[in-house]
Amino acid sequence: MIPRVLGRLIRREAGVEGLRELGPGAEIMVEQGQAVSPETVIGSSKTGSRVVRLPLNENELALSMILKRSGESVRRGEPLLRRAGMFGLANTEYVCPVDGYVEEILVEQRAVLIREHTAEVRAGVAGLVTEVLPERGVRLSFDGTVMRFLAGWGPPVAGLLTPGADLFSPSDIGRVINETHRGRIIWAHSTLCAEAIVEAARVEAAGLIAGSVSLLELQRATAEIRQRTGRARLPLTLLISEGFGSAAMSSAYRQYLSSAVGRTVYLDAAERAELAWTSDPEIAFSPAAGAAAAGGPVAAPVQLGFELGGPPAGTPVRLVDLDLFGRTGVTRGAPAPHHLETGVSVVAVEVVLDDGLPVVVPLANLEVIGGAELR
Amino acid sequence: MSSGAGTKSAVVFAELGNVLTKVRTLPLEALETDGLTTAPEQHVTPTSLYLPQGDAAKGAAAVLAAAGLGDQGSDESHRVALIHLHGLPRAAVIGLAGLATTELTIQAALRRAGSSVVQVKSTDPASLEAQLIEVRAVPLDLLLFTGPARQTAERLMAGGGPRARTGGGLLAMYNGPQGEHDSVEAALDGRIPLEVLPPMRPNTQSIEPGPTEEALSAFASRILDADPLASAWRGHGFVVDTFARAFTAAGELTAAWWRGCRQQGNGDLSAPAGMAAFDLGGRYCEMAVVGAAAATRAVTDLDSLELVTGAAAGAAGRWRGAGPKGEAGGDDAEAMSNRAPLSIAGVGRWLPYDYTPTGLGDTLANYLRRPFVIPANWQQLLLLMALGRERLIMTRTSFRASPGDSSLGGDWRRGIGMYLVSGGYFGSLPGPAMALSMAIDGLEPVGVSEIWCDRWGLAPHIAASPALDQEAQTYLTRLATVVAPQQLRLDWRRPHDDDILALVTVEREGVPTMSFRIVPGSLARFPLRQGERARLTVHPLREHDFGAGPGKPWRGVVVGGRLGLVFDSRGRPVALPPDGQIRQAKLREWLNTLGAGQSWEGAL
Repeated sequence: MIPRVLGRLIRREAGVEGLRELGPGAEIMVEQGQAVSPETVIGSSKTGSRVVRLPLNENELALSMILKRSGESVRRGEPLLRRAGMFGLANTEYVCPVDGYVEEILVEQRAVLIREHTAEVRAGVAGLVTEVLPERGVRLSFDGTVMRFLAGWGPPVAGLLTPGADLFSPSDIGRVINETHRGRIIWAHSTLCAEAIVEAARVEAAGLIAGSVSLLELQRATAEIRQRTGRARLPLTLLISEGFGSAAMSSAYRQYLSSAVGRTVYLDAAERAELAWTSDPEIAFSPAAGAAAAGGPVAAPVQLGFELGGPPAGTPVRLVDLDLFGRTGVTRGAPAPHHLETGVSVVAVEVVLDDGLPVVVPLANLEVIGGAELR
Repeated sequence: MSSGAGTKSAVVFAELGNVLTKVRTLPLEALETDGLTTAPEQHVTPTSLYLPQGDAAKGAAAVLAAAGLGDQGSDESHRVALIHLHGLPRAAVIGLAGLATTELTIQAALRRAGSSVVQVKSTDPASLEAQLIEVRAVPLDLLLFTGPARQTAERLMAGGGPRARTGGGLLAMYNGPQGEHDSVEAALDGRIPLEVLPPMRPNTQSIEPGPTEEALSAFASRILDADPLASAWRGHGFVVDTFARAFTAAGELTAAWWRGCRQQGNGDLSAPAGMAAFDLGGRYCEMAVVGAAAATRAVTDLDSLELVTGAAAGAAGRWRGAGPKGEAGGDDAEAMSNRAPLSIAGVGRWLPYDYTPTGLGDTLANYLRRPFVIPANWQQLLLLMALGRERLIMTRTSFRASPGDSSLGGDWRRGIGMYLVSGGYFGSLPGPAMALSMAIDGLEPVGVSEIWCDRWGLAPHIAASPALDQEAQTYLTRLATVVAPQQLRLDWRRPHDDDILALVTVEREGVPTMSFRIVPGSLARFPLRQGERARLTVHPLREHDFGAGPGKPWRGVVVGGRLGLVFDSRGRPVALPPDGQIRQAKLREWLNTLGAGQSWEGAL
């Protein structure tokens, strides 16, 4: 088995290449060579656009004449609903605020959901447009930090990162998350409870990043949001760094994120990936104005080319073994044939975990951290 | 295996899967002798080896280098490469009402060409945009309009249009009412070329699918020819085909071989003539059923298993292939939604140890993020076997036999005499008993049938290799002949230990006749030696049916497998005791009955 090469989990350097894929049919608003700031709108996307909710009270919906059906296109300013006034006089029209289409008419929630045809996408980092991919996206070169997370959901978003907080206890949520988080990226130090996701959605936070989340909590949050809004998908972008469960975010991640608090960070959940597991979500941000672009503890690239013999001793790895998922360590010794307790023969290597615990792991169950290029 | 293999001395089978890329090398003589006794030399890597680039070509290059296959083809070996990659070509069928006869025929033709298909119902405006979001989310090869769905085409293009999977671009085809394609062509606005096919219904009285099937098959070949990954493999001297197409062809070859098998030796085998093949891979579970007519295919996708949430399932969630419309009516999407989605409790019910839903859910969710991990201990192995059982059940229940195949009417399993299982899940199990356990529980065969295992997944490769002898199936392992009553319902709240389900008599040459009884809720094994024939008589009590009709004795010839003869009286579906402790004890008991500790050594 040739183990997978993950790349460095955290890169902080100058000249980072970043692709901003806006989806097919996207309108690109920047040019090659143009300098961009985190707030620069690089284009408008026709997929993953935001949903505009029209709040109506019960009587209004009942009395209104709905002029559109689900699935129909609407243009900005086009009448969407018409409410007849007394004796048919003084009709009130609700006009559509955006170009898009009627996605759903939610009677119980007394709302009409309109999905915009376009949504603006910001750069999220300060850098330079190195390539424009017509109707698709742009490639940016920027100085800053890129952090690889393990799983994510939702469209790419950019927003101000709020200070880290503990969001695992439902009793703390109301105190920690409030209306000031609208459009922001909320950062949880460890795991998330369902109430935190629901509350972040309610205040319309742009994103939520955490060390982990339990599958059941995520299911509970999704069910709650669906019940409240009729939406099947999470209305925000959620990224976890360590995996499913209750693990806290690693200290290295926390250290780097601390430096980005109060600044714009870019979250890419990598949902567009052809195969969900072949691409990891990323967070990117630029250094504060005046700070050094590069520096900090950059891991030395691993010399690859070990395909035939496996990773040499001293290679940093992350375990994806089901019992040790997300743990990191360093290989000790050379890979060798090993009999698992199930009787299956595999090639395995000894790994010393970060806490000093030695374990023998099949090569298939680890990923090599580091390395710039495969031969 | 005799060969038309010329001077070649080895075979190299490569598989570019959705999760793993594998290269297996075998000396040709290993296939030519009667029985594959040596494991192939194997090199494997995650398909997207190098994550920062997410490039499947890197994985392919790494395994080829590890196998010492160099940059160019060699005259020394036959080389066959099969590509999975989400089905190829990937097509969206856009119709008006959804699954009219024309669309069914087109879908069947697409699947035979190895395609994965998504259906768009234009007359359902409430969900049209949601359907189109899925169409836009996954790169496509083909848009196939079965009617003048102008509004759908307009909406699709207004939202950015679909993405082409390869650099060769996207093609649209029209096969609907004659002369009404103009509106679709106008909506596509020249951005996607439209090809108008001969109408499948030239008049209201007849259906002529031939020209459409030919056009789709030719298009599938064209797409494969243009695929850059396929070109890379060809550059290394490989014959390249899609896994789906080769898998279907292998099913038909194996079915033909099985029909011949039943008529060999002293007394014909009495199991039915139908054959069903299942390939349980890391991402997809494919199945093909061959009755009297051609093979019918079905596929389920691990991403579509709504384990996490609707949000987490991803936009590719509804991409799947399934068989044509079943006799009971309903379309593919309904057939899929009618089954219970994969759930933590569903997987957990097969675990013979205590678990917490939170822990199990997190472990499964982590596994789905890295589906290439190897189970490192018994607990992990049993967990992945539980997941495998559920995936087999979901695939099997999504299948609808072809309406034109009268040999598979009603419950199609009654017409199946041979099940062939393969794929990474089976190949990584430590022994034949574990493979049989997962197969019986997931497939739930009824009547009398044999279960075979293609441990190394060679059948599709051989089917795709014209130079190799495709008649002999010496590399397959006959796991067991399974006898199971049809339609037995068990209620574990009532004790059944005193009830007798059937009396069984086994007559073997040179051995005294043996008679014994089987009871409801049991899994029993009779040590009939591998390849040994026996005359079996099953006298059911009450109205139980073992294939001869309710209450009628079943008599016939059976052959022993690696694990002999297995009597499965646990009901259909398999009834698991509701009490956790009793259920776990039963699961352990059933594993022990099958001999779970056995290794593959000498299994062939």
